[in-house]
Amino acid sequence: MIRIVVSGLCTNEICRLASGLGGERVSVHEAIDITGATEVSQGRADYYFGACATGAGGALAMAIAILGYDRCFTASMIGSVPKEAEIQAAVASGKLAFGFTVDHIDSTVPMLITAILAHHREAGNREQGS
Amino acid sequence: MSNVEQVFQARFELLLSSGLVSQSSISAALDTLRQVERKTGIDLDEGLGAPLATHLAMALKRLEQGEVLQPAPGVLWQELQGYPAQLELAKSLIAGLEQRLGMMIPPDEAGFVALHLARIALAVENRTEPANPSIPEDR
Repeated sequence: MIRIVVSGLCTNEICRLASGLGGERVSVHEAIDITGATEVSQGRADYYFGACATGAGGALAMAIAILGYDRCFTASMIGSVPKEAEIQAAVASGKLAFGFTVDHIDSTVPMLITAILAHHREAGNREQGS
Repeated sequence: MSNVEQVFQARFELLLSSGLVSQSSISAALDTLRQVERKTGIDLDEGLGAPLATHLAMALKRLEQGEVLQPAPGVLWQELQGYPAQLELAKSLIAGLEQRLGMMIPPDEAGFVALHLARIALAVENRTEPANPSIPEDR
């Protein structure tokens, strides 16, 4: 079970979407950004999703502060649509926190869930093969 | 220590330690948050005020550094037509910040602040999770 914590704006919508896409393979819950990022840092959650509306970095601010820049990835900004290949590469490289703007929820969350599930499937296959 | 200083102390300390905000941007953000409380009569707690607090401190730090802030999307201004009181308050807050900091702040910043104020007003009205007025929860 992949544990995802959602913070920031429109958390209800993101949780609904992520749960619907991930089904029984994911567990999604919401938390205040400080709590959510701490859960990931302590291993109580696997991934952090944060949405903001303003483009000033609020979506990932606490995740950057708690997890560090190298664990965070901005999946979309105002005027910059999410790119599936970049999201796949970010997940594969071990990024744990993903920020995006609320106007890109419908496109970004499916890309993130798909990439995370594929990443874990591949990791599982490698373990079985070894 | 005032209410907003206590409420957002841990948040600002974390942001400061990671270099995302500065002491002066925190100070200006706290002053703005106090004005929001005074002018709206709303006590800001973490759930209500965290996005605005984070946004203000980070945006002001970027302005201090001479960075260009992201322009607001057109849809933001359309949505804010339904929140004239919040837009007026945001404009006055930005004007106060310009005076305090001695610098011009892009007009779009008033739109972003108004968006947060509208979200706070909606949350207080509904007494539920703060929603983003520009993106309805039940699209």
